[in-house]
Amino acid sequence: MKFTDFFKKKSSGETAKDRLKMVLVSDRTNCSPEIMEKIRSDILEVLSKYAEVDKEALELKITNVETDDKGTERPALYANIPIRNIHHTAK
Amino acid sequence: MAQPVSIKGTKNGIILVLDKDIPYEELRRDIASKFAEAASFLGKNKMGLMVRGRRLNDAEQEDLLEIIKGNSDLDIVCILDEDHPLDNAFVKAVRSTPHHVETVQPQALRPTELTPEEKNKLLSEAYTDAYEAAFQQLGDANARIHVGNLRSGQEIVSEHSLVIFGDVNPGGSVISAGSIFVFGALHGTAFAGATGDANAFVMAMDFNPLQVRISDAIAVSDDKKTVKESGGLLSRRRKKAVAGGPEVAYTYQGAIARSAYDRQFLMSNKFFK
Amino acid sequence: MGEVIVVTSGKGGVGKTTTTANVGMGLSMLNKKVVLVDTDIGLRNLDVVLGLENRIVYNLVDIVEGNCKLAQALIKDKDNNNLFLIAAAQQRDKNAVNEEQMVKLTEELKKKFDYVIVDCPAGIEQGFKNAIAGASKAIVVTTPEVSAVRDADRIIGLLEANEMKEVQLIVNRLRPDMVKRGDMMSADDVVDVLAVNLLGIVPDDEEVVVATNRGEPLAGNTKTMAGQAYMNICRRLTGEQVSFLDLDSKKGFFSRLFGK
Repeated sequence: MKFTDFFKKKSSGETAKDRLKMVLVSDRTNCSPEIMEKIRSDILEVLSKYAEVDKEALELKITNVETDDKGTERPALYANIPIRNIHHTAK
Repeated sequence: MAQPVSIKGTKNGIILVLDKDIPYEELRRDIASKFAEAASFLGKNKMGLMVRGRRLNDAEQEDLLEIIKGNSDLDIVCILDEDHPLDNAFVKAVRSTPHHVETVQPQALRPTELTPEEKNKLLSEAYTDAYEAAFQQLGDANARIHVGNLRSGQEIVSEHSLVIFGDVNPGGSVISAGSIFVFGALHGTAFAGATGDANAFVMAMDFNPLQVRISDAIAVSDDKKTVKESGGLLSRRRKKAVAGGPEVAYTYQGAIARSAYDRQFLMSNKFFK
Repeated sequence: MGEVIVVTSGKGGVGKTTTTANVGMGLSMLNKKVVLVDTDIGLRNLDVVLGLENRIVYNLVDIVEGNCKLAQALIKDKDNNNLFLIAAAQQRDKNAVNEEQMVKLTEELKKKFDYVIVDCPAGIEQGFKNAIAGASKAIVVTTPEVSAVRDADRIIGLLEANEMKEVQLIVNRLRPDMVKRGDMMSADDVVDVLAVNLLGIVPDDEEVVVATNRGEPLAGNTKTMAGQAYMNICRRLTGEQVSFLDLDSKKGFFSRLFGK
C-alpha cells in the first residue's frame, strides 16, 4: 500500500469493522417470527382489557430510527392497532 | 449340515436351525433329544431363542417351548424368527453387551511375532478345531455380502458373517456375530464375534484397521504408525503396495493376534482337504 | 465440584475443536483433571485432533442410552493421565441426545473432574442446544473475519438468552502482519464490535496444522506462538492474571520496517 493511498480509501480491516457494525445492527433488531408473534399476542391481551381491537388489521414491526442529531440509529417498535370500541370500564 | 435339527449357542441366546422340508411333527423328537443332550451344557439360563430355517405358527411355537422346558433347564424369554426385523433386535443386543473391562485398555495391533514353528503349532493344534467350527458356521450362515465402500459414519451390522467388496474407511464400521472378510482396504473398525464368539476372525486384503474387536478382545492400531501414515492418501497407498498381502486377526489367549492370511493359515484350518 | 465450559462459535471451521483440544491439554498440564466431551454427533473430530480415534469403543450416545457405564466411555489420553475424552457417535445424528440428558451427564462429570469442556458443533440447532445445556461458562471462538464475527454475535445473543453466566471470547488465527497493514481486524476491533470479555488471542500458526496432523495438541509447547497463547488462555481460565502475548515479537523490527 502506498503512502498516498491513506488519503484515498480506508484499509480493508476498517471496512470490515464498519460493515460488521452495520450488519450486526440489523441482525440484532431482526426479531424472529416467534418473538414477533409473542409480542403481538401479549399486546393484544393487554389492550383488549381496555378496548375492542381489530385483531386482523394489527400491524407490528421493528425499524431503525434516528434518535439524535448525530444520526445514531436505534431500533424502535411500531404498532398500528385499529380500535373498534373503547370499553368505558376497565375489566 | 444334513442334520434336520441343530442348536447353536451365542452369548445372548440360542439359534435353533430346523430343516425346512421335514414336517414339524416329525422334528419334535429330534428337537427333544438335541436339547436333552445339550441340557447340561446350556445350563440354567435365561435366553432368547431364534428359529432359523422355517417359520413356526403359534401352536408350534408353544409346543416348542414346552419341549425345551421338558428337556432342559433353560428359561426361554423370547422367540425370534428369521423374518423378524432382525437387524434392529441384533443391533440392540450387540450394543447392550456389557463389557468386562472398566476402562478400555486395548493392546496395540502389531503383527504377532511368532516363529514359524510356534505359528504352526498355534494354528494347527489348539485352534484347529475351533477354526474348523468357525468355518463350518460360515458355510451355513448365509453370509451377508455388501458391495461398495463404507465411509465414515456408515455401519453394517449383521448376525451373519460379512463379506465386504469394497473399502472400509476410517470412521466406518463393520459388526458381525460371525467373521468379517474385507475384499478391499480395512481402515475403519471391525467387530467380529459381536455376540461372544471368540473363534470369529477378521480378514482384509489391505489390513490397516483403526480398531479390531473380536468377542471381548480389543486391539487398536499402533499410535506411532498412525502418525507416520497421516501423510496423506498417496503415501499411504504406496506403502500398502509394498507391504501388501491379505492379513487376518484372530484371538489367541484372550488377546488379538495378527498374521498373514496365507496358505499356512488356510492349511492349518483344514480348509483344503 | 468442577466447572462445565462449552466451546462454541456458530460458524464452522474457525477452530472450535482445535481450541477444545488445546485448552483441555493445557489445563491438564496445569495439573487439573479434565474431560473433553465431543457433542458433534455424526461429524466427530475431537478424537482425531487428540490422536485417540483408534481407542473409541463406547461413545456419548452409548452413555446416554445406557449401553455402557460412564467409566467405560472415558478414553484416557496417550501421554496425559489427567486428560480424558468422551467421543461423539459417528453413526448417529444430533437428535440422539437431548438437553436433559446432557445436563445429567455434565452433573455427573463435574463430580469427578475439575473441568468438563464441551466441544459444540457448528450451527444453532439441536447440537448447539445440547452442548450448552449443562454449561455455566462459554468460550466463543471467532476469527477476525466478518462472517465469523457475525455468527459469533448471533451465538453470544443466544447464549445470553439462555442465561449463560459467563461468556468469553477467543480470537483465533490472527495474523499480526495483516493487522499491522490494516488488512485484518485487530482483536480489539473484534472485542469492540462484540462487547464481550477477551479470554485470549491465538496467532495463525502453521504449527497448529502440524500438531493436528500428528494428533498431538501443541498447548504448552513454548517453542510455538500458538502453544504459548493456548497455555496463557488456560492460566486465565484458572483465575491467574496473564498479560496478552506480544504477537509481533517473532517478527524482527527490521523485517517489519522493510518487509512487505
